[in-house]
Amino acid sequence: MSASPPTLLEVERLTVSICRRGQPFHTVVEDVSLTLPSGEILALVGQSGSGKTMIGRAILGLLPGTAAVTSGAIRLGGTRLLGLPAAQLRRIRGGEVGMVFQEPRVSLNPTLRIGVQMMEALQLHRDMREKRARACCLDMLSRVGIRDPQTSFESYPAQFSGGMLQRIMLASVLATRPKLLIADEPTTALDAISRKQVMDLMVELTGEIGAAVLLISHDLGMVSQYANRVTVLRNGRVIECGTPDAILLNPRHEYTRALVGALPRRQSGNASPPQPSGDPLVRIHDLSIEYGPRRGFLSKPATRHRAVSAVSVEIHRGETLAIVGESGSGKTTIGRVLIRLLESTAGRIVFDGVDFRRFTRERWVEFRRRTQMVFQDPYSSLDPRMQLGEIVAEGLRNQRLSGEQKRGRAAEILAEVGLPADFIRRYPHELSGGQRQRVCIARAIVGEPSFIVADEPVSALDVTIQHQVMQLLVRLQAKYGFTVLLISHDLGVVEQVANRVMVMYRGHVVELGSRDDIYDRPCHPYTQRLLCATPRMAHREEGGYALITPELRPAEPPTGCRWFDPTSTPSAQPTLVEVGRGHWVCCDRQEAVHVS
Amino acid sequence: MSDESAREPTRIARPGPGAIIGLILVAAVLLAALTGSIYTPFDPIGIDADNRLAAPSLHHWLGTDEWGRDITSRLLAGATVSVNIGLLTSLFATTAGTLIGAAAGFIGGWLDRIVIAVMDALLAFPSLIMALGIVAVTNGGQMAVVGALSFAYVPSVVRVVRASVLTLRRKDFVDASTVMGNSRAFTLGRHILPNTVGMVIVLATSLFGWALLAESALSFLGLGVPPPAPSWGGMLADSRNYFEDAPWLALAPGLAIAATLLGINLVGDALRDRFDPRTRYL
Repeated sequence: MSASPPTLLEVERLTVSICRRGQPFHTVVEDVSLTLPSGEILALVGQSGSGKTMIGRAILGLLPGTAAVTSGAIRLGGTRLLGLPAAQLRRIRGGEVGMVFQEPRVSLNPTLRIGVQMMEALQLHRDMREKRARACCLDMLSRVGIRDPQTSFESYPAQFSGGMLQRIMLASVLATRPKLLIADEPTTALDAISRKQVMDLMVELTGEIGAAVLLISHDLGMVSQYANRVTVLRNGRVIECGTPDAILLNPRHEYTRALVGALPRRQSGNASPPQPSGDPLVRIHDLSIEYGPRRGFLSKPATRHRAVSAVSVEIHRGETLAIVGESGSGKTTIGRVLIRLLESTAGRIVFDGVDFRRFTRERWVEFRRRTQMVFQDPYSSLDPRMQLGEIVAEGLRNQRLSGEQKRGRAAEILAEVGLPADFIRRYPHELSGGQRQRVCIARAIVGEPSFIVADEPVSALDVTIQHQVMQLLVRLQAKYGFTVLLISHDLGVVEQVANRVMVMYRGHVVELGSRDDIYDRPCHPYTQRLLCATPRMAHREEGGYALITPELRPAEPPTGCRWFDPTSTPSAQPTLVEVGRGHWVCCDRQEAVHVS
Repeated sequence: MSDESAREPTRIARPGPGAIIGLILVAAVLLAALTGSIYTPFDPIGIDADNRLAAPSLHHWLGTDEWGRDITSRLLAGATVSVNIGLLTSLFATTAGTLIGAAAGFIGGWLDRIVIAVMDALLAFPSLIMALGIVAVTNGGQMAVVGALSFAYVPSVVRVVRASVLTLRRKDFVDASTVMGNSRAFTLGRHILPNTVGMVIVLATSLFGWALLAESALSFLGLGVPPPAPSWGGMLADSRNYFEDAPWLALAPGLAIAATLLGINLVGDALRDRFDPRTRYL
């Protein structure tokens, strides 16, 4: 072992307070010390409100106006950063320290071309002429896997997906060759596959230029894959610090144990799907959904985008069927059509034995009572002007109950989802994200529906809160017996609760089977890729947890199989082949299917 | 393990100094308007040739104008006219504009396109010119001014309300309302319109101000409330010829208009905060 690398960043007994009228009022970071050697990756892990973002911002002198460092020191390669004159601080920002934020879409200026924004920092900090800066940017863009750097250079941010934008952010920050990269939840807004790609790239590129990384995240599982050391924060204090293995295997502090315990992993309880009894609740047959403007007056014929192509599946009573896939796979569209927020283009949907097309007016009213939805974004799914009691009681509006009865029932359900009694009179803005999502669940189940579509119900929440909310859903399902269609890009979440899993890719079903089939015997290369991209936890025999990184080698894309060429659009209808009992895999070339 | 910390519910904030000042100003103006409609110290249109352009004195508190009419009395009587015009205009314009804008934004499609085309066409005319035209072709008088100004302000209200409804329509709580089986009309009335209230109040208060000023401008051009009936705008307009000799002529109605606008805006802001649960508690 070589001598330990020199310390690059040193945070010593840092305390940050929110100030009111110049007086410290509330401490958000307390007595935090960190050391980050050159070239290493240090992860700061904690829930929202733990102060992890404040530490990152304090280093760059970017604290919000109401917060201030009240004591402590921050040193970067020997230079004290606190109290540095603004001009010198500016040279360090973007020059020696780069920062990548959570939302690539708001960290890039939508009105400027990518190239202009990338070159800005280079011209400023590395004193490059335009021609060299341009060459350097193009080089970085191709390094981060942007297929056509020349064209991308001249494009606007809106023309890229979130994952691509985050790569561009990474390219433009690393182009200045900083010594330290601060990455604040860099992949939280991305789906599993982009998440892995961006993280892999970040580690590879920072390794190449020898930059150290301060990785800020709520996801202990994700950072454990990449970090050299992990620091766990809670309420602004350091709880525990160590190597990822030590923290996962042998968490010493109770809080860390809870954090590790909340990491998604398979629950043994629902290993076997409930035996299909009677006819399925929902039968989907050859469902296709197209989007896009209809041909309007004086406008040219619009190209309609096919979001879902000929999907057929049955959802049995009482089960949880999960649809997984990356963004754009059509999973949300299916959910919205099933709950009739969208119309299908072709195919049949049979709900409880009756075709949608044969529904009478009364049946639609009944349908609305029996189906409910839990939305992704807890910040937009609750009417900000209504009290929680009213919000939940609205779920009973179309039932014959007196106002008194409705209020009573709303109170019961709010208690059942774990909210205190006095929350009835609260407004949504007074709640945390997890509490809001509990209210959404309460509103959905108050009318005792038989079918719930949960569209990414926890993807906006911290990992620990995700765990609690999913457990709540499982408990309520056991009690009320409703059927759940769970839509998620996160295989970790799905593994906890789903009975059966349907994997979608670009509007097609690529694999459908029981949870164990999909997770233990994935056949389709796309499913395998998804699994590889998701860090998952398993109990170790000797206690504690370990990350499972699937050893499955993704099968080589069979030549000519258009499923694996992301540039082509599959046109012909692939067929599903049954490879095991209830385990279906799609391929248009049967010999390409790996049966393990 | 506990959920991440929620925001503490906080107490209802007492109205700030702005709201109190605003309330006092508005109350004073309303009181003046009320007084003016039943009692004035002198006849507001009574001419007194011996006392032309008298400076403020104990007898004539705010002096007299070029016809010897008592400014105090005219100010009180004019308050009725100005408050009427301001209130009615902002009431009519916001009501009509909110209904049209909400319908266009929520229903969308052809209705939206037609409404937007018409409103854009109307907005292309400066509102004052449009009001001028309407007043000119009608027989004039208070209600003509109100009608003309309301019509002229509707397009701006429509645009603002429609934009806000379009944003709200995409919120998940609107989809949630549909999934609960609520009709579109119920969703509009229960979840969308209440969320535009804050903005509509602010619009209504600024419309009040615009209407007062526009009435002044119309009077200035001789198309407002027909003389000799007093209105603040008319008084301001008439004062311009005597500004050097009798500055109080301009000062009295000018200050009255300014104080009213200030009061209305402060009250509007306070109402907006009061109606929004996110700012009601502080």
